[in-house]
Amino acid sequence: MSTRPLLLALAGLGTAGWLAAAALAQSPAAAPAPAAAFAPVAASATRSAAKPPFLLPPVSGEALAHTCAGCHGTQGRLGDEAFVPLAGMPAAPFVQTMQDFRSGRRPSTLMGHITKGLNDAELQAMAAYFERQTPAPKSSAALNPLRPGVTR
Amino acid sequence: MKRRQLLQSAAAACTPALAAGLSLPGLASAQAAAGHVVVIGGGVGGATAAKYLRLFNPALRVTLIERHATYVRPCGSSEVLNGHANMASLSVSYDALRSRHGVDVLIDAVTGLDATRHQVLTASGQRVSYDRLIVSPGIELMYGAYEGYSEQVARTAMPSGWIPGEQTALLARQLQGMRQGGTFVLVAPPNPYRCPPGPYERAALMTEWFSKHNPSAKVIVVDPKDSFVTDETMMLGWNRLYGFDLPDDYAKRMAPKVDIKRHGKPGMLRWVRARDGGRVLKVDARSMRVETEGEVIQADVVNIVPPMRAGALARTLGLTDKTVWCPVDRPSFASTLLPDVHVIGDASIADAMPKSGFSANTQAKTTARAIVEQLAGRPVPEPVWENTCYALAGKDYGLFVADVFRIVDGRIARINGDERYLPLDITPKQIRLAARYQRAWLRTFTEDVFA
Repeated sequence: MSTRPLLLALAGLGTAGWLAAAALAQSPAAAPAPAAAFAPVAASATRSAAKPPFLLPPVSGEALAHTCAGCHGTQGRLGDEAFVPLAGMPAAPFVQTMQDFRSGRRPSTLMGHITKGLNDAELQAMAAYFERQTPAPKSSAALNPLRPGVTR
Repeated sequence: MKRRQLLQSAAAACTPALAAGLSLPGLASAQAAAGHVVVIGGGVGGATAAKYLRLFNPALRVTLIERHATYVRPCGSSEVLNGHANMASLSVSYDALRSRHGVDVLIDAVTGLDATRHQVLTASGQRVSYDRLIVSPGIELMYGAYEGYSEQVARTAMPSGWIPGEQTALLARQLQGMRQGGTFVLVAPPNPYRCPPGPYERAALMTEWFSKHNPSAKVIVVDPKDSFVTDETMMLGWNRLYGFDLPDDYAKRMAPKVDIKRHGKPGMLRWVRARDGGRVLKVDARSMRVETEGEVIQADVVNIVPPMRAGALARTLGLTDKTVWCPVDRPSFASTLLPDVHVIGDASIADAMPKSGFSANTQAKTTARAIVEQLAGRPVPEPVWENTCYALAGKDYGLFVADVFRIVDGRIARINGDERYLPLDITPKQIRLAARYQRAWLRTFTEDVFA
């Protein structure tokens, strides 16, 4: 019951929320990380395995975006759900939110872990993809005829 | 005269087909040029692949061949056991793949493969030609792995229910009808297996249910392993919810990060790992006994999650190697054994990726992309995969696994740091939120795959 306001806040992150986050993104602290941060997490992941840091080849924003679809909807298009729809989200707040998940500045369940696999260039590429997508109608019943009924 | 009549009637007979062909010249020729991809297996991997192939290239012809007219989802199927879901709610139709995405869905059983002629053979006698073939055969349960166990025993006395269906319904009846104070034994599988947190979530959900409806019942998980995916976070939930005392080594390791209760008396739930004698030697369905390396347990309900291997179809088609799984090339998931055939999902050997629906879903997308690019004469783009497994330690107690994968040194490796699970010191609010997300995920994930 006490989770409801937070859920609503997340699910209801509409344009206003995006704009607020965009304002945050313009603060000096949110300046883009230097190119040296290209594969920061990959490097830290291998440290325990005593391997030298490696540089991974770039991945397209679209390919990255499709990994989000299991929760955030195909092409980021999601109706009324607990997860934030990503289609049509302006790029700046998307990147800012993901960076805040990664740094722990924004609390999360699993997004903190997921974002540790994504560098800034990849976040920018994903953001550009999602910004281009048309948002879904509010009602996901209209978007998706398929609603597996979970009775509880 | 007769000959002319015959020709005329032949021409007349041809007209509808001809007209149809002429009315869609662009589509027909574009599809012929783009190619035909056949997908075998309408589970998470196959359905996602069929949908995304059409999203990536609407000119592509895509045929999905599946034995069953309706899909029964394993994700969330343990919730039939505690009455939070029913069997009907597990059913998912292929209608959206047909009507929204233009996938040809063929309900038929595949019986063989003519790899040279690029044809799939079916039980109804069809030969379906393909340019590329994706096989997503899932798993086969090895019922013969334990003495005294068989598919017959599973159907009638000691169900598995790991592939949801009649056995799930039987297990639900047995558990909900178990005598007061009875003992439920869950035999966990050895690695690798489908849905790594699944057996432990099932044990947790039934412990929660028994606490209300059968408070003197016992739940014993016997395990051929010494650890399991999500073990710390799952057992922390058990510790908080069910009076479960963690093994000393776990408690010691976790103590610096989180307060662990010491209950000091046996709780409803027990986990017997391999080093404590948890490995099963044999079962006896007549006496409902389970014999492990450490003890003989007299049970009332026994749920066995047997060892697994690639789905039988993978062997029939010649796609498995001596590991009993399917070797594939990274990044395209092309079989290393047969040309122009890709194997995705639980059956594939995908290195660090767990055998989960989410893994199959992201593998399907990179494989669909690889095929679309290759058919157009372009290189396979750099892939990225993800895995998220939500699991429940209780109705309102959620936890998870969160992975991002890339190819590193030719193999699929996790790249998102050392943390994989719910942090041990996370707030109760986040734990409830994770449970809420688990329920939402069942819907959003099913939609990404099938709708």
